[in-house]
Amino acid sequence: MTPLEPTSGMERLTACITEAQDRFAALLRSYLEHHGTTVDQYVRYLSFQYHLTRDVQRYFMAIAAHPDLARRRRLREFLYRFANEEELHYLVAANDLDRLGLNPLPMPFDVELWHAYFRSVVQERPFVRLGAATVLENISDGNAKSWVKRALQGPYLSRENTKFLVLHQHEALPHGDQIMDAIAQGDLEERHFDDLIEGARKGTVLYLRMAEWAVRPGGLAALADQDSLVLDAAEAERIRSFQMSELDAV
Amino acid sequence: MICSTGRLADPAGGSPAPLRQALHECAEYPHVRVVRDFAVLRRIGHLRHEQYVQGQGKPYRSDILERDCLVEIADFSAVNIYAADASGLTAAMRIGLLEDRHQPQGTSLREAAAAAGIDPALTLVCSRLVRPATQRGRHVADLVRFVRLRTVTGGYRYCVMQTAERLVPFFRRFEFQETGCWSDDGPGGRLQVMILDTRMQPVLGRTIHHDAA
Repeated sequence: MTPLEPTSGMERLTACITEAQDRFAALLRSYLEHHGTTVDQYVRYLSFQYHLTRDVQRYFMAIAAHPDLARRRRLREFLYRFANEEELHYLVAANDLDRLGLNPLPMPFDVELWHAYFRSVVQERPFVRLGAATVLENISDGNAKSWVKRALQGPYLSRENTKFLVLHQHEALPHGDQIMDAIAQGDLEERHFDDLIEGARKGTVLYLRMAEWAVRPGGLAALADQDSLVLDAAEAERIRSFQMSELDAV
Repeated sequence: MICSTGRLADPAGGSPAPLRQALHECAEYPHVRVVRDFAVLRRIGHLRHEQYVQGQGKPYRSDILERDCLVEIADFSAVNIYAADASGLTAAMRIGLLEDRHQPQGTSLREAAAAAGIDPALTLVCSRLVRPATQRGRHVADLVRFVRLRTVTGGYRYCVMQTAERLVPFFRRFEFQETGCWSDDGPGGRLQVMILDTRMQPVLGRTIHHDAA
């Protein structure tokens, strides 16, 4: 392919995801070449995932509600199902932390930025948020896959505290492929792909900053860390009593 | 005596409650808390480092990245408790299961427990007792009493610990007995293994009347 050859929207989006995977692999390699992962890094990973994925259904319902999907009902249907499947995943992360004896850490600043930005655009430009989702669902694959596998090894890991990881293994729940297939079959226009790519790039920036916050607890983003999270009693009980079978509730 | 904070587990049979279920905060010791926040665990980790590594030269190795902060993998399978007052944290201690594979010096503790003929499934380990240098340790006794109250109620009978010779008389006050088993703890010197048999009595020196339930 020459630089002047037009590329399809899907090819452009796939290139963004590949770049995100490569950058994620480089981040993990820069740490893992010298050390194994530590339990505090895992606590930070689960904590940011708790805050990142909490209320995720609101985003997908908002995307599905956009009028551009009025004649793209298969994509709308996919987004609705996706929202249902993802909605309780934040409790899986929090329950894994509970099994380590801990509440989630307070929301990292980069997760605050994520929500502040994507909430501000999701109603009017829903494909920006959907583009970010393509990165979240695929970033651990490709060149990052072997490094992610290596990162997620440690004597502190047990069946009880790795449910979130197991759930998000590509083989267990192939959301990465599913979301790309749904977009590919969505009969989307170029302007939609422009927004998808913008969201994929911005999502990559913010996600990699969260990953760096987890991997390097002494890094710049930790300057904005708060001391502790105040969980209300109802949320604490929801976390403690969570059962994986709730994911299959109809 | 029946504990006001819950049903006594049947000492004659059945499994003890999961440790995190047994060790919950209670009205009898309102200043004793269970660690749930990583920030508190880090604070305790810094105290441990000051006390054990810097103060006593012990070769303990931390499992987290933060400098001068002794937090171990065992902390994530055990329960850490602490006492606090208006000045902040006054004392802290870790309570784990004897059978926890991450328990530091677990092998020697299990050997001592086996020699004493106690049931490992009913045995806890108290370890990493710390207090800030500015505190006199007035809440340490409350931590020990809290653990006894809550864990006997939860169905645990025995508690094992290791301590320096100079602290043996202090723990005898709580009915811990010397076992005669020692372990070498590096520059800090030898530690004696002590065992407490609560006889399923949640409160020191009291008698349980099971039929009162």
